[in-house]
Amino acid sequence: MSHPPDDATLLDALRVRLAEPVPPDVIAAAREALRWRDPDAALAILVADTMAAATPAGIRGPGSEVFTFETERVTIEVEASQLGHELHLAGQLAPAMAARVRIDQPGGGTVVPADELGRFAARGLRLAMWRLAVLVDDDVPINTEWVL
Amino acid sequence: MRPFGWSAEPVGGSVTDVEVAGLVAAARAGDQAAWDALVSRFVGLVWTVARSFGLGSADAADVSQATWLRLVERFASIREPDRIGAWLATTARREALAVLRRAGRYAVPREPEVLDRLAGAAPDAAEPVLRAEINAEVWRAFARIPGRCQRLLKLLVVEPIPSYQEIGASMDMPVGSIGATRARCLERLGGAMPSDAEPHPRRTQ
Repeated sequence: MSHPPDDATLLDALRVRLAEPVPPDVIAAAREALRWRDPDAALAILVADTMAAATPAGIRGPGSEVFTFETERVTIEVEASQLGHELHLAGQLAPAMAARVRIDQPGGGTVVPADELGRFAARGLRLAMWRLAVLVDDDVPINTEWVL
Repeated sequence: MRPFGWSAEPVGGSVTDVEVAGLVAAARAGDQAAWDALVSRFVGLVWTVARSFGLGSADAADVSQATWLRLVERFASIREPDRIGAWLATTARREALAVLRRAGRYAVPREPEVLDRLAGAAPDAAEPVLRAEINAEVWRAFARIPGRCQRLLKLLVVEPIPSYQEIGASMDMPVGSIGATRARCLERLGGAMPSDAEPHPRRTQ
């Protein structure tokens, strides 16, 4: 005669095997995320992503991908390409305007200029998540969504 | 140790929810200690959601980071701060699916990788032999139940235990059907064990 173990015994057994501590660097990265808080910024929403419909590509594989972000005031189009272990970004602001563009990545940021035609580029970035902050004079910054 | 019985109905307006809503409000205003408390409360849930899709640790780390950055980015649009756990679980699920889609392996979540890694884990030496045997049998049975049941059961052993809202958001499953699905999955798990798995064998005397 036998009885299947009750639910508590089953779950307890699974807990022994499945309980997996979250790696410390994952916890540290989660804590660090708050430093990117920017309550004054406007958020530019990702409205198109060539990779969503195309062949596998993106920052973890070879190839390039075009992202389009929008706010009411500006459209930001960015081509992200991977070369070796580096990420290159090249973009365009529309309407065209001179601005400073800060590329944020976990661990730091880089600022590059956008010219009178709204064009900007940043090379040799780390292969990691990124977002852009578009800074025009004294206006509120426009931040794109983070891209993984 | 936390009792393993599952008594939590979806909580609405409990002290815990109020506390969580307060932490969200404080973190939104820039309070790092409140943010760290939120991370402590939900980092296991986010990580488990990512891992439950079969992601390796590097991909799961990316999904976790993306999820937390997304919350900071969307702070202003969070309408139900007491349900932030469900929001995080939903976001982690979407980010995990995006990673899988990107890698072109959505149809085949890599469960075996997780199973292989864990299957090698030795039972605790201090564990009573009988308990160890039951655990090993449960573990073998776990490999034989459907992937969706595996995902649900993984969420049921996360610490701290997720609410039904959070489980529903993780699984993209209506809250109302979780209880029945949980019961069915545990039944399948029990049914997948050897029929002579007797927790308390009696001697004939």
